[in-house]
Amino acid sequence: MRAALLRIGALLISLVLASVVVFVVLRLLPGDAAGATLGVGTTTDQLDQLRSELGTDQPVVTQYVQWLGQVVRGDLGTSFVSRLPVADLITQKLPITVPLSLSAFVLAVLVSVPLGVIAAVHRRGPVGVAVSAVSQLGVAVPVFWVGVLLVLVLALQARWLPAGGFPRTGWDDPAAAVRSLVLPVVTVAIAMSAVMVRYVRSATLDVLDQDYLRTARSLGYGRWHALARHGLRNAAVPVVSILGIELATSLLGAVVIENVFALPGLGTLLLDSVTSRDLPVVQALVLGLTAVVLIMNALVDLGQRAIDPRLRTAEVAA
Amino acid sequence: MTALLSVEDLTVTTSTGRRILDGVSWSLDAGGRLGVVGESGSGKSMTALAVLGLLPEGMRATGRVLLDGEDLLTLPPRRLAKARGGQVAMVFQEPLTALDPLMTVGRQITGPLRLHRGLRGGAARDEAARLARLVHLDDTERILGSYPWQLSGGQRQRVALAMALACEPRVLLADEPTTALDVTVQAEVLDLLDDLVDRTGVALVFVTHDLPVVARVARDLVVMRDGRVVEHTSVGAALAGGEAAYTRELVGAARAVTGLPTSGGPR
Repeated sequence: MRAALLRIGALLISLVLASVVVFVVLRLLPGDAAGATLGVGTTTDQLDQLRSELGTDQPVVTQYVQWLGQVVRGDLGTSFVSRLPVADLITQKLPITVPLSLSAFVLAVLVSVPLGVIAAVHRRGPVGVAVSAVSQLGVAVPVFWVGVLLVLVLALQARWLPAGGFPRTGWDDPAAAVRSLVLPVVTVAIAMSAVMVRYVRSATLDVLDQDYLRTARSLGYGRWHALARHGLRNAAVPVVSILGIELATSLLGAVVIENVFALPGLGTLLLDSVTSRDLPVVQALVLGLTAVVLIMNALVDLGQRAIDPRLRTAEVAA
Repeated sequence: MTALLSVEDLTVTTSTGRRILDGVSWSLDAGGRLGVVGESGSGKSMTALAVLGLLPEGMRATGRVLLDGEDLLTLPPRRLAKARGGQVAMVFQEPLTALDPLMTVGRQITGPLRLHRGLRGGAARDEAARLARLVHLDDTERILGSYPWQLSGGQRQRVALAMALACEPRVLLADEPTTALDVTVQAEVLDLLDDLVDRTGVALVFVTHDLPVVARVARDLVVMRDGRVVEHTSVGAALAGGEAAYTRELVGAARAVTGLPTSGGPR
């Protein structure tokens, strides 16, 4: 319990630090919203007027304190460009990005855990070698390239699935929405599985070499039975930490791949906002993504503690 | 009387064709106590693993390992799994790594009880407690609820013994079971092993590099060197000066370091 509270305290500190970094770094970027909005050939007076409307003429510290105060109350501010609340802009995009990244993550886990275990058990057999080789290839290839390839083959050649875009009516037409997400989900899942298979394989290999598996075999457990009884839980300790990081990766992967598939999700919103120097939107998105990663890491720590009693005992002793 | 376990012309080859064991033969009667000695690399541990069919990946065993006339080397996997634990069980050198760190000792002992004897729930727990008392783990409840790394080395090896004896095997293979332990604990575990063999009637194969240790628990002796059996004799005969020069060398070396008795066997 005390460990959990400490971990949450550390999480809060990390979040505050992340917010400072995000806020300051964005303000070091050249160009500002006023300039980007009004374009070339505007007078200094017009720029100054817009800057004071947006509040960007204030000192950075004042701006930060103001912004943090709003964020804590759940107000992410107003877009410089569309003058809409940032929270609304983000909420509109969630129904695309969240299903995309979660399904990619689930698909990647379902593919990579069994493949990784099989690759480890048959490490010297043809199956194990083949799985390792394919996963190596998958790691080497960039995710957007996989996306483009899938579009070329499955969408443009075979015409099974749409090449990009999302139905204008959103999830009102579930079949169409799902169809437009299939290729992006598969693309992100392929990239993630390639990495995860390797982690699952090496975690399982570690366990296979352990004496306690030999003990179990010597007591009459079959190879797979012994692995299920002793191996999976032991292998899960390192794998859980990777799963946590990969869940965050799937969100970032979704952000990248949305551009390849012209999906109007968070990634597209982020890119548009950076181009127009729409700082409230950019910093809310970056801070949000950072928060997801930090929260995942905290959950991973707590999850590992639940699996491995040694971690709990070490804490009490320390 | 035919032997309970007999190893005939056992040869183990690595994937590169190197012979780790070369024509090893010995036999063990029901209730017998056989010591297998040799320096490290002589193939004594490999012999024990080969008997159970648990050689490291890539190694191949030929010859015969007859348990009650049935060849374990050619047994189909299912029947072999039944024999492991149920007929022939093993205790390993390092009890810390031989036990699963994430599973309580109680569950590790009840596992084979369920697998071979179909005991579950309260019956399995009662039997696990009986086994724990059998190996003198007196604070039974606490120990069964502990994880291996919360116990001492001696307690861990007692747990491993309880697991090995859980399904009343007829042969117990002990591979350097006291080597990883402190000297005082070593003596306790040896006494316990001695006592367990007497009480349960299990036949013992005790693998060690330590001649004084084997003189305490074994009656017969197999001396191994470079994967071959140098001599198969009784402990008493070996201590009185074995036939093979290498045996005399081992005995002489042990006597120079420790107070090895001139006659041996269990007291």
